[in-house]
Amino acid sequence: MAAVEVHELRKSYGDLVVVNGVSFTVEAGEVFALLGPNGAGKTTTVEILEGHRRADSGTVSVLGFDPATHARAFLERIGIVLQDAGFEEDFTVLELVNLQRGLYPRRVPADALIETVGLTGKRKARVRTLSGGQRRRLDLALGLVGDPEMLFLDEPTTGFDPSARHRAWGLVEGLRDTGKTVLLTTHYLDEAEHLADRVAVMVEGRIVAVGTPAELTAGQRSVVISFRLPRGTPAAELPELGSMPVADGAGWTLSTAEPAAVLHALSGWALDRRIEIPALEVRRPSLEDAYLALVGSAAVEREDTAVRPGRA
Amino acid sequence: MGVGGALRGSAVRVSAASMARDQLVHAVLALWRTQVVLVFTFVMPLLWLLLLGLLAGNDAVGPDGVRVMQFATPTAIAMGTFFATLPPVAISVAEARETGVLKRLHGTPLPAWGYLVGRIGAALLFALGALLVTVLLSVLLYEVRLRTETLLAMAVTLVLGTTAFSAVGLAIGSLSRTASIAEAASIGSAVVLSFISGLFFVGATLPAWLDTVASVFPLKPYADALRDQFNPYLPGRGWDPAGLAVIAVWLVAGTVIGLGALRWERYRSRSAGPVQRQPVRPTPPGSSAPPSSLEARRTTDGQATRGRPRVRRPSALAVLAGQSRAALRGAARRPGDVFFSVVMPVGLFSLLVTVQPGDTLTDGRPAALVVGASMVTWGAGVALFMNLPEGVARARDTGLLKRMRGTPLPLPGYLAGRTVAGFVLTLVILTAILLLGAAAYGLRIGPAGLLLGLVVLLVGALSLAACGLLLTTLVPSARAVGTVGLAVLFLLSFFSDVFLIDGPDWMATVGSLFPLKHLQNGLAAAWEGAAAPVPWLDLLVLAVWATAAGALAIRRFRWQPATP
Ligand SMILES: Nc1ncnc2c1ncn2[C@@H]1O[C@H](COP(=O)(O)OP(=O)(O)OP(=O)(O)O)[C@@H](O)[C@H]1O
Ligand SMILES: [Mg+2]
Repeated sequence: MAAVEVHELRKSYGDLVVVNGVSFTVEAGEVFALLGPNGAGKTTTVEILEGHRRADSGTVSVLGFDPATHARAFLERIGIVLQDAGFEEDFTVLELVNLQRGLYPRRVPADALIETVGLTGKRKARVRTLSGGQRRRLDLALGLVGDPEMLFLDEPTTGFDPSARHRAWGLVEGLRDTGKTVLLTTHYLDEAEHLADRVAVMVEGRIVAVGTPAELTAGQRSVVISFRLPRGTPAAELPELGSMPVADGAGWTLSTAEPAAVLHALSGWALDRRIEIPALEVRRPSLEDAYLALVGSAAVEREDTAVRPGRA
Repeated sequence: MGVGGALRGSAVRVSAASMARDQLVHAVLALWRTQVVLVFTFVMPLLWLLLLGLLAGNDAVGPDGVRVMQFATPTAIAMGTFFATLPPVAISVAEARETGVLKRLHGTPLPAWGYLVGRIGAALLFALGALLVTVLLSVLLYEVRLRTETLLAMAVTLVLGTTAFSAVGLAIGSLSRTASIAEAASIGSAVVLSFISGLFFVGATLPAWLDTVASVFPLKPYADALRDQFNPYLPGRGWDPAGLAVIAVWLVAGTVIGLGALRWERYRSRSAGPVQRQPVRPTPPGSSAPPSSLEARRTTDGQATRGRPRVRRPSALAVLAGQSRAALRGAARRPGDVFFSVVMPVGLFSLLVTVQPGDTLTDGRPAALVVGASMVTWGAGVALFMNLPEGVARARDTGLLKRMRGTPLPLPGYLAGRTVAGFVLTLVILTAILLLGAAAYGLRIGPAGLLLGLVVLLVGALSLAACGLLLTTLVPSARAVGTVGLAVLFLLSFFSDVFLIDGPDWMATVGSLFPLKHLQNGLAAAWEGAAAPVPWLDLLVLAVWATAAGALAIRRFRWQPATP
């Protein structure tokens, strides 16, 4: 049975439609990532699944429960890491972990958990003294303390340093290995690519793509070519390459469906002028490229429909 | 990082009892660590008791050795238990909601009752603590006697009363949109109720209509019952069914409203209308970022031509005006600040003038004039010695000061803006009281007196603001700053002719060391007009305090919260 089933979910705040007919399923034991720009409706969707908000319409089932009933048996089997929940600042890490631990029938050992999220040195520290990333780790610990079957992580690694992020990835992989289901949102596409079995991209309350990271990137037929130009060679002197290269940091990037032709034109041009092309790279598109293409085209489409009536 | 294996949970049964116990212990610790609650629960009633002891003496009132404090102790008990329950429950519920702690809890298997048992139980335990300490002190220090025949009625009154206060606190906490509203509403209503229920006056009688109003609320029946239960000259076992019924009605109403309105998620800000989505477009390559509108506004006072910001440093006056406006706007949006600094002194003015037996005091001065000076002083104290430092400390706690430090805004500009805002609030109080006094109580003050009064008020405001800033540098957290400020102000008011009482001479001497008394005396003297010379001494003391406290405050000023 699927761990999460969502069908035609809708939610608006006043006039603003935030979730606009979303359907997806998450299989048991799967890590599922919800991606999308700020304000896309990810948190709203996830919080409906957690039982924090009510949908206007549509059906939702999580572990066979309707989250809106807020049944205790349901809450005992899920773990939640909210995007922005506070702590009681005058308590220590250990105290808060222990307090929350006492609420669940299945309990993870407190010390092991604190060790796992890397807060052992701060066990006895009051929350108000923790750094931003350390607070986020405490968030993660509190979400895990009841040994949940289903874990909701809303931007769990925001503010983590790179090594903490890799540790957290290891943690989520460990959870998947023990058969848990994870639904996470993130803005880090490498995180989604690394962790998620499947990814959904949400834009303006709709899911515009679902699939494994490989499937999403495979949808991109083109290949990304990037390079720099030697000092003193303006980009205007580049030959016709099929599509315009765009500035990307210190270099130039273009995506093309005909990499052989572009590379041929580029290298021929360089050899003619006796210059080198530093940092030349040819790669298949990453999830980030696929994401930007999806989000960008959704935004352009909407802008077209939004602007046209005014101009006419 | 260890993986799933190490984190496998072991199954146990979660009993309701263990859950409730954990929550209770946790909530007690939370209250204890807030420290502010300790001030309200223990320090205030105890100070009150000691103060009454000083004022009233503790002579025997009859041949049987019954002493004066036998009648003051129940008032202190009522105050302590009341302040231990209603405000803390209201504030802690609203704060937990605002910080998202409630939302987090709502995602756990903890049922609502578990949370409430913890919070309310902790408040009741604190009330019990306040009761024990007060009784112990009054028995040891003042030879107050407990009456065995009324003990049962007293226990019932105490339990029913504190539970009802907690329920009302829950209702206030549930209905308040933010923690600061809950704080203002709960402490404000607690102070007002204490006043009209006669807790702050001993011996004085309030107008009959006010008594009637107060009897509708739970505090007066509660305090009256306790007084009667302590009164050795009354027969019977101390039962007051009518009073208990009033309290019980509030218990039920508070519970129903509190549970009905309880929300787990924070309220969105009121102005959150439909949000227009801004299309996010990647900037075209090569183009430079457009000048941010923020930058343009700061450098050119809004007359910038986009794209070519002129570089001109804002004048000191412009900085001051901007800061003052921001501070005033902030104060106006905090209902607690407005209530304590404006509504309360004006209301008290009206009440206290009404309560005076004649139009003139015993020394022949018009009551409205003296009470008016007192209440302007109180309002100035609240605005500049309580709200101002609390605001600065809050900005420090939330990191606002730190952010500000990274901008070109000079510290004096920020502080001066706050002070100006507080002074403007004080002028509002002044105007309201003078108009009300002239319209309703025949208050007449000449133009010279008004002008001189303004000078006194200005110097007084500076000294209070300086002391307030000093307070922020001495007390760690914003909430503690507000509470300590209120407590100091409240206490000092009794020494400074703000709350009129005929205390012994030494109290006046103590009062004359601090600015509050000189502000009140200076204002009253200025308003009396030609008869009184310019109050040079008062002005001098105020100026000395302003300079000394201000210099010390600036030296000790911290931009960031102290790390414990
Ligand atoms: N309680 C609410 N009342 C009104 N509007 C809301 C509320 N909650 C969210 N919104 C609005 O709904 C939209 C979607 O919000 P949501 O938090 O679901 O976005 P998100 O995809 O999680 O964004 P982010 O990546 O920034 O976290 C936003 O425009 C937000 O302003
Ligand atoms: Mg979100």
